[in-house]
Amino acid sequence: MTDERTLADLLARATELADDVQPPVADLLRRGRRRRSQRTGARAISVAAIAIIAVAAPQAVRTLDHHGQPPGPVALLPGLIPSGSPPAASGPTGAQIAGFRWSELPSAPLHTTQPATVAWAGNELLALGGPVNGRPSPDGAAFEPATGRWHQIAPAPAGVKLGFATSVWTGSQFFVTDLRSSCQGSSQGKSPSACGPLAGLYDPATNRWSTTAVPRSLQDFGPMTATWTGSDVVLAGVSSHYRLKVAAYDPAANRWQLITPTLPAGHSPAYATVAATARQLIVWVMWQHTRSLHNGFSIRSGIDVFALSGNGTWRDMTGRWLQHQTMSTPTVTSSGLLVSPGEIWCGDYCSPPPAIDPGYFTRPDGWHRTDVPVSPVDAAFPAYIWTGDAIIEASGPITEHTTTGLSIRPARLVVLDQAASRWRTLPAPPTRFFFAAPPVWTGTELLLLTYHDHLYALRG
Amino acid sequence: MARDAEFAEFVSARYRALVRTGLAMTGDSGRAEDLAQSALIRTYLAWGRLHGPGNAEGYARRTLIRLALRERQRRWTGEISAERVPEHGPLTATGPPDPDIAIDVRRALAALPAGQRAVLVLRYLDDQSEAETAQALGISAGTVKSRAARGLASLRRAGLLEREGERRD
Repeated sequence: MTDERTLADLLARATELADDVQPPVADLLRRGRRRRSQRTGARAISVAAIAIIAVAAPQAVRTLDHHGQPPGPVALLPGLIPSGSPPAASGPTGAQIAGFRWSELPSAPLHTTQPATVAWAGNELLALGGPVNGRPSPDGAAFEPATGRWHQIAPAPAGVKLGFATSVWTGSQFFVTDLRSSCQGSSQGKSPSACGPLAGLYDPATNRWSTTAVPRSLQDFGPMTATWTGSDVVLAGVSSHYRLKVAAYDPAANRWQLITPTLPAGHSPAYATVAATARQLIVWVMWQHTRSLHNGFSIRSGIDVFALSGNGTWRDMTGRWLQHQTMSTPTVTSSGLLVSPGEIWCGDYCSPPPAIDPGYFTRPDGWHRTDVPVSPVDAAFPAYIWTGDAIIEASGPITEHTTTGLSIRPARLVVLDQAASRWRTLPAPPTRFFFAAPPVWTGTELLLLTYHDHLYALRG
Repeated sequence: MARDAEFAEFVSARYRALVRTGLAMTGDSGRAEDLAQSALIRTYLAWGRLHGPGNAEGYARRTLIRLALRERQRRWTGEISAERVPEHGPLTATGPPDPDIAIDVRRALAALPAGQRAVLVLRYLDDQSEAETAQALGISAGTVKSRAARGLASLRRAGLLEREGERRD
């Protein structure tokens, strides 16, 4: 049997579907008709909008009601732009963390393979959602290091999907939403009433959820990133129609505001991420531009950077920002923005060589960059965890190709001793399970939740 | 309406095949269904200019692949969900049924660059020609060949394509 036929046979076997995967014909027709009518309406609206825009000055900021209708322009929501000081260095040093040891803690009472969302909520670890018997679960649990115990929390309300959740801790509530599957879930259990989209806010103090309707213009989004500015949750993402959207939600006023910056002509957005520094909100947009030529295609790509300051206008901050390195959400630290290592960014249809650029610190005033030393862990996508004074780099157990087949490489963690400017090896977690999420730093210790709900702590 | 009737028939016939393509691209059945449905809704919107199910099939498949490429979420571990850790040792396409073969194949595919994965899925799961694959991905036939060769070489190095005859030896 040739390699091609062997692969065809393997692919056929690996993609066998259960009998209950059936075409949701009626639902697709209903959604298709609705999208078609929306598109027809949008064409008429755009003609009118062009006329209006030609008369009125373009506004950088618009508010949205919960039906997605853009009313007139308003002033920037007060307090949206942070005005505090950057976080001060705190916590144990890298040298101290290098002496920490692992402890096994009680397992999470979730009965899922992998929770959908894991986050540190001030004084407890929250783990929500995940598949249970093949179905998405609304259940959640919280672990308090102070008591060493888990407790169940109120399940997420119907309509708050957790499958591909975007979440952020606001200081008192846990904001979570899943805009991707809100109206595009699997064929099972779908109904218009469950189609949302809703965002949920969980308050650990009362063990209660509240919900807010997400503007319709934010539906149909891919992975979004979220940040908390001190008054607003800000979401940034790119829709399946290659449209950038940046939105702010003020939980106190239960108000959404669309604050999307305008991209340069020809820049088609692919991914976006957002971070709030002490003085401004910064959005990074990975873009690409594909042009057909008579003998093939031409692809350009890069990263646009915009900053929203207190006067409510976006400023193009791209400047010297590195254009060829992918990026995840930077961490705001006392030493500037910490950017994790990334691969080469050359557009979605490009297969770059497997090279990883190092992580680095940078500041908005010129984007001067200070590289973080390359760690001894040869991980393709390491996660940086900022402790307040040190960087922990974590690489979970991964499957590797070897000459004898696939094998498991154990998890590896290292910590950067900034004083000595060198990485120190941390003890390996006592588990072969994959990590359910990047480890979480609590301020004094590192918590690690793995598949099948096992919990470990690296503590001094 | 004729459009709706034709589309309903098309969905009934092709839905599972599209989900399988999505599953090979993402390794996740839920995301695969999301992708198939997103691609089908776009196909519905474009139905008038596709002039029939023959063109619609290529359009839906092309849309699904492009959505999958764009939707790649940079999960920090680069891993896909699995109920258990796979055992060590080479994998084979023949021999007694292996309940973990699906997980192993999806993991091996997930380790490939997205462009190579798309080429292998279109060529060897969807049985598309080099020209059709090139058109679907917006690349040249030469690039299809080189990506397929590189992808096969990677899978061979991983032991995924070990041949039955060699294994017996």
